[in-house]
Amino acid sequence: MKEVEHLREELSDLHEHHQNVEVVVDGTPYKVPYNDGTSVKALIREALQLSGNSGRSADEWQVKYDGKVLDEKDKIKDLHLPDSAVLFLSLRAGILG
Amino acid sequence: MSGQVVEESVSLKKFEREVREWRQQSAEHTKRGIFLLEAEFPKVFVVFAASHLIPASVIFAVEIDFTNYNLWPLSVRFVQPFSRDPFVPSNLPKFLRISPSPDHNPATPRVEQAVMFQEDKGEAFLCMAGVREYHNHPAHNGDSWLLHKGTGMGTLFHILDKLHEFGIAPLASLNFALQFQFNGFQYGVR
Repeated sequence: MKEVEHLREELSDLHEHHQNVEVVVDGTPYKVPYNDGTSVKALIREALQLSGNSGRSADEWQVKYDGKVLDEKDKIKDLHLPDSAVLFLSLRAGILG
Repeated sequence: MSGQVVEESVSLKKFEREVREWRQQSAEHTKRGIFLLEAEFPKVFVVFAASHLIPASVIFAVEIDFTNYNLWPLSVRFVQPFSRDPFVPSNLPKFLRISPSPDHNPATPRVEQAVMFQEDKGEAFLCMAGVREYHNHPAHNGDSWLLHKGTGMGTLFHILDKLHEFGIAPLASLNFALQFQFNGFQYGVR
């Protein structure tokens, strides 16, 4: 519950003093706002909301930059993304085999 | 399963949309080493390279079939990038998901195989929900494609992204083996 509250606060702060990063959600690009306090996890939620993806929980998605999966706990600002950065959001694979 | 059961124009529209969306990001996909080379309904041909290795190397290719999409999931067929012959178990690279073990010991990560061969023969298939070969397999008849359809799983983007994640991203380096063989003497005046 505490975590959900924290994420809500992060999301409500997003639209103040924000920058945008391009996130491709299942193939379609969106400009997603973030600010200094935004975590990767909050960015995933915001991107899913913007793209209207509600069929799966946010925990089932992962975001990648430069081919690597980003840690959900990291802050976006700490990744030092260039202005031209494009992140890719896609569903995790689930069980294999 | 065979035959046309979905109005072809419906699958064609979805094919065109997903290929168009992929191509709109082609510069980014190329950086990762994913090249969508041909798209002629109902098939696309995609080559994967390891752009992070030195020298960068072409690793594998797939042919993806949109027949009856998306009442049916996409079919993924692994082919050799140049000849387009199917892979056999001895020459297909490994497709792995490597994640931390429950005890977080870095020496013993959890390793799962994403691509396998039926009884070690036949053609390779991607054993993942969202792929036709997975849902058609008797071992997965309890996991219907219709439970996943429309959620972001099994799209062209999703499948190509996972193939890169399991087939290209885990490649750390090229391994070389050099073999020296004694081949007689050279003769000359001393």
